Amino acid sequence: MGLLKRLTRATKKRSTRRRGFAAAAKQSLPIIRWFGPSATIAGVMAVVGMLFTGKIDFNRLDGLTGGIVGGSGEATIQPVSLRTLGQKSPQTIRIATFNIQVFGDKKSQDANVMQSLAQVISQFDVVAIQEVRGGDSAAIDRLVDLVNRSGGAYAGIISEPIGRTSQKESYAFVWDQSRIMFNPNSAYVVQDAADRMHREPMVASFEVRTVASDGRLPFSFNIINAHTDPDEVSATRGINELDVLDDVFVRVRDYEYQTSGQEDTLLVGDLNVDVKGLSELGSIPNVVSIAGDIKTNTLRTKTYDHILIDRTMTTEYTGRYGVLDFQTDLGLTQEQASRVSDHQPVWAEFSAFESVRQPAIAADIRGTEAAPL
Amino acid sequence: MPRVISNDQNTAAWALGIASDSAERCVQVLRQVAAARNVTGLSGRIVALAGSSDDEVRMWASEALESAVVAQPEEVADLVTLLRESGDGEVSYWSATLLGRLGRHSGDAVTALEHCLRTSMYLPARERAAWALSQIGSAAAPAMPALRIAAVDGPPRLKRLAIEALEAIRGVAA
Repeated sequence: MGLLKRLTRATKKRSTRRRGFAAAAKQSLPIIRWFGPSATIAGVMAVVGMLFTGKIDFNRLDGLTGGIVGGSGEATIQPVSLRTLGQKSPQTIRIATFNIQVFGDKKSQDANVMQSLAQVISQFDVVAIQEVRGGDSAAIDRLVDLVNRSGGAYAGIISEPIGRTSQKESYAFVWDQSRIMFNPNSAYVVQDAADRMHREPMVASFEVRTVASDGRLPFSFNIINAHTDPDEVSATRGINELDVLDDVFVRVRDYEYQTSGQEDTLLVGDLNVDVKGLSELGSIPNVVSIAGDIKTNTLRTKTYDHILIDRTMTTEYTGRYGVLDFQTDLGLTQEQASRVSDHQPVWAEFSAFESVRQPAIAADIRGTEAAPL
Repeated sequence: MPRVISNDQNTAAWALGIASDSAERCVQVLRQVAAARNVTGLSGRIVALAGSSDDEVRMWASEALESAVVAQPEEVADLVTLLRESGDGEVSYWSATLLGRLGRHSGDAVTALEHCLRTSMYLPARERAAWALSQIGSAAAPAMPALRIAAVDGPPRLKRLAIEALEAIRGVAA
């Protein structure tokens, strides 16, 4: 099992994490001023980029939650109904992973595509996005802007462009601010000094925005957002990123637990393999792919996308999961759906509250694929 | 220009589309290719587009090559030509990648891959050349001297790939 040299970012402390959530609203104003009046994701991305390059102190981002509101100022695409597919429950949240194939400047100016994406995104509380292209945040900025003009209250954060070749991609997270808080001190890209991964994963931490109930705290969690290279996931070809991602999962989980007491780590993304191809990532004790072998591409012929959890730790998982068939749910033709993406979002449902750890863990937490949202 | 090696109707239509002077039309077709799976017969043409001067064409060509295009043994010669003659790093990268996917069918590409490994200015192309040689296996033995140099002097990832290639050529289990 190969090991990544180390994870980036050194200064997060347990106390900082909790203080960051609690104090976010109070501290946001000076940071917004510092960014300037627009406070767009582009600004945030620039700052996150500086974080990665060590040009800024992470602690200065404590107040960013209130400032990461999408808003490109462009209003050419008409708002849509965000409640087409279903309502959200106050007792549960839905976390999704979605590869929005080549999501760049041009695609984000296609009104039909963007309206479909807005409807899809709004079904979930947190979405980990892969394949943001173009080197800036324009696409994510426009998407968040459209969702919000349609009645949502979403925010987003995007990584620096990542990749070995000139065709780099960014990861992004978008979340429903009315239900989820992003820990502003939490986003980083895994450092991979030995260059074992084509696109090093991005990590971010979130907490459900609710009050404790029956002594149970709001559910908080880390998400590792990953997109493997299809040429580097075959066990027969010598190099296999799935044999690196297990190290990423374990290191991030341990690091987050040690530094912030965080017990729940999810690894999500486009892994370009079905559950049998997960290799060492699929061999971590108690770690399972929730959706398993469910077909996740738009043609419904292949399994590429996964949500992995440690079933002994993340007992907040309710057992409900699925793939959002947006072609059917939004009444699109195959051609229209393929313009949105060649992938469909995979999602899983979690309790909005931390669970009390049980000594006995159910043998199978796969649950059942849910009916359409 | 690389040949189209397929009788499939879709392929023929796509071949016309990506030969278009219109970048918009080209992107439209590349999106269709990327949305499909196991597209054969267009490898050379789409690899060439990975070096297009149009950003959107280049982006979608890479997407199609990463997720949909499957090279055929009959296309090795075209891919070798692209690898030898194109000065574009992305074209070299994808030529080497597709040749590597073809594995032992790419025996005729060993010299070109070895040349890429030794001389390319684009590190990802050199890495993919080393990887492709590992996929070819024992037939890549003539590239062993260049692989030995890369295994000693290369950047970390190239070193690792060169060592793996040397082991594959010698028949050592990974």
